[in-house]
Amino acid sequence: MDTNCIKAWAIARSLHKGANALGLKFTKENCIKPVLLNDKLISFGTSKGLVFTKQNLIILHSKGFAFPELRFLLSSPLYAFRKILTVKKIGYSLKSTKEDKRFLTLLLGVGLEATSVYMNQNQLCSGIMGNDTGLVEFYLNGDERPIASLDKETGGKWRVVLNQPMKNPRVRITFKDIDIGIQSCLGQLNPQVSSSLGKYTIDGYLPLMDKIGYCARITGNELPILIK
Amino acid sequence: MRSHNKSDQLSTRASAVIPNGTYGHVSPAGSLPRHFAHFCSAGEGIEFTDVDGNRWLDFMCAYGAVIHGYQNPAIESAVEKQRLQGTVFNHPHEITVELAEKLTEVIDFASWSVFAKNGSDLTTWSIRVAREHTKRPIVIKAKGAYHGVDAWCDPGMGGRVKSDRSDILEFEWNNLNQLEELFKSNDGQIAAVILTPYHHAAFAPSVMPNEDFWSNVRSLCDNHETVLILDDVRTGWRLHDGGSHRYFNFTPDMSVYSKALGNGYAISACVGIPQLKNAASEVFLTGSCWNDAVAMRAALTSIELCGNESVAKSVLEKGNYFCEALERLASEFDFQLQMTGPASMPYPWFEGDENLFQIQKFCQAASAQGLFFHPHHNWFISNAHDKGTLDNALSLAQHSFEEMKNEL
Repeated sequence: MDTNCIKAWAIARSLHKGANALGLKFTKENCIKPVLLNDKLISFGTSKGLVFTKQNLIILHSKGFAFPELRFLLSSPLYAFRKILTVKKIGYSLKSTKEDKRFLTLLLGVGLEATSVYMNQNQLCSGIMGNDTGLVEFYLNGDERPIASLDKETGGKWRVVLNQPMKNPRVRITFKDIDIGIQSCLGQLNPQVSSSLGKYTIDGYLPLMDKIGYCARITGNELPILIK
Repeated sequence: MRSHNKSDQLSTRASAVIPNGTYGHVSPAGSLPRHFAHFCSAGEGIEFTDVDGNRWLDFMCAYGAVIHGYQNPAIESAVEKQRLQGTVFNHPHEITVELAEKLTEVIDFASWSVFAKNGSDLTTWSIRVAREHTKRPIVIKAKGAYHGVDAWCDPGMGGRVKSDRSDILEFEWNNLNQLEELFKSNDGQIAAVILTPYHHAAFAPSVMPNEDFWSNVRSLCDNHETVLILDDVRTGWRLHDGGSHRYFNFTPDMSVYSKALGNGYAISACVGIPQLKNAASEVFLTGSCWNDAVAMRAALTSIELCGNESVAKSVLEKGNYFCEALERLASEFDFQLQMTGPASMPYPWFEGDENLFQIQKFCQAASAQGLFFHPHHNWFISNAHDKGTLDNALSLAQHSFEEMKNEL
């Protein structure tokens, strides 16, 4: 994948993960799980109502609006409209002023999903990650279940799982509170300083988290989570 | 948990004016940030005091930079006398020659010596000397080995371009087939092999060289006219008073020292065989404060102490006593603890603890007892540790195992 393709793919996958984080229920017709149609087009769902060029997806991310491909939209306007509403809902939710756990899950979901795309596809990031595998869990202090997990099995790809306990983490990150979690997702905290001051704790195999953190910052610089 | 207020205040102040607040190997983030202090205020012998006034029984010795204990009286007295004469001048001080003479006397293969401030200064310079001597580009190192902060070898990720490592090849420690293959596939291109005496990577148990490792590495280098560089920065004077190559019975072409050399004063040295002296003369070397008479006086006194008090033998013996007792203690609580690497600088490893949760728990519990046991780096036994302090540490460690056991 070239740079723009990775960006567009990360945007599309993040939107889908955002929908998961918000608990939106899908049918086959309104599902927005992205599909790469060809070199230029990404479809939200297998039914091709909502399709963007990669370039327009990047514009959608930066400007908040972009035209989908009309020929697909006109072929299934009703489904396309429902998908557009879903995408808009995720956009609104990312601009939420309610700093609650749902918002944190949304930010973490979209941020980690974009990072996982970069770790899988971006040459610099995949080079940094090398053959590393394992499970990284993100907790809110006092919770028994992780808010999100980043996982890769041998031979597989990095993937994001929300709100599901899994087995044998290599690293466990615990945010002191929701506010710290949100600031962390938005790249507003220095990881070394925050960890030193106990804003979050990192237990387990630290070198893996160092690498993921570096890739997350590369991703965040190229694709900041737009909340304003 | 011990008091942390002033450490936190200083960390906050530091973060405003220093990138990451604290960086490198002393960054709290790489250890146990909510359990260890972030800043020290004083140290003496095997104890140090943090800025909150907590006293710690030390097993890190400034990450190896101190071998005779903090503020060793003999070294401090020699340093003080030197300081009265001055530190850095327009010309090197006489001590420079004395120190070079001393090093070439105690290191059996060495016929010359140069000085800098950090290990990195001279590991990097030494590979340039090898390149100058051989007129070849490639350097081989062991995967995961630490040789310093320069772009050809640093463990970080930032600020690097592909070309930084285009002439650096790696093999798995102890895997002679891999090393041989690198020689074969890059015939006539390999300037140097740079290795530590044994493999002391962070976040992993230490690995000693296999019995035939060093003799084979030496032969491969000889057969391919490649320079063998020993990075003895961390290990120097902890395995043998004449350099760690003597402990493993081989001879490198150059060795680099720092850490224990100055007992807390910033100095590093590279020594080499006569055949490399011309190449060493061609590779530029200098630094603003590298002709530091005070650090050199500290180094000379430190080397003399190491010889007079057989420090390497002593720290190995004390380490054996401590490591065996700690392993026994762990097994009494049903923990399988192995102190890996040489006993004078052991790396603690719980069986099956690849993700380090158990060692982190143990070191957290130990920190509450005032023990500075690092969960991710090898520890150091110093000349200042004695049976009494080691027994005291073992007794405190027993409480830590008890606490771990109770948590299960």
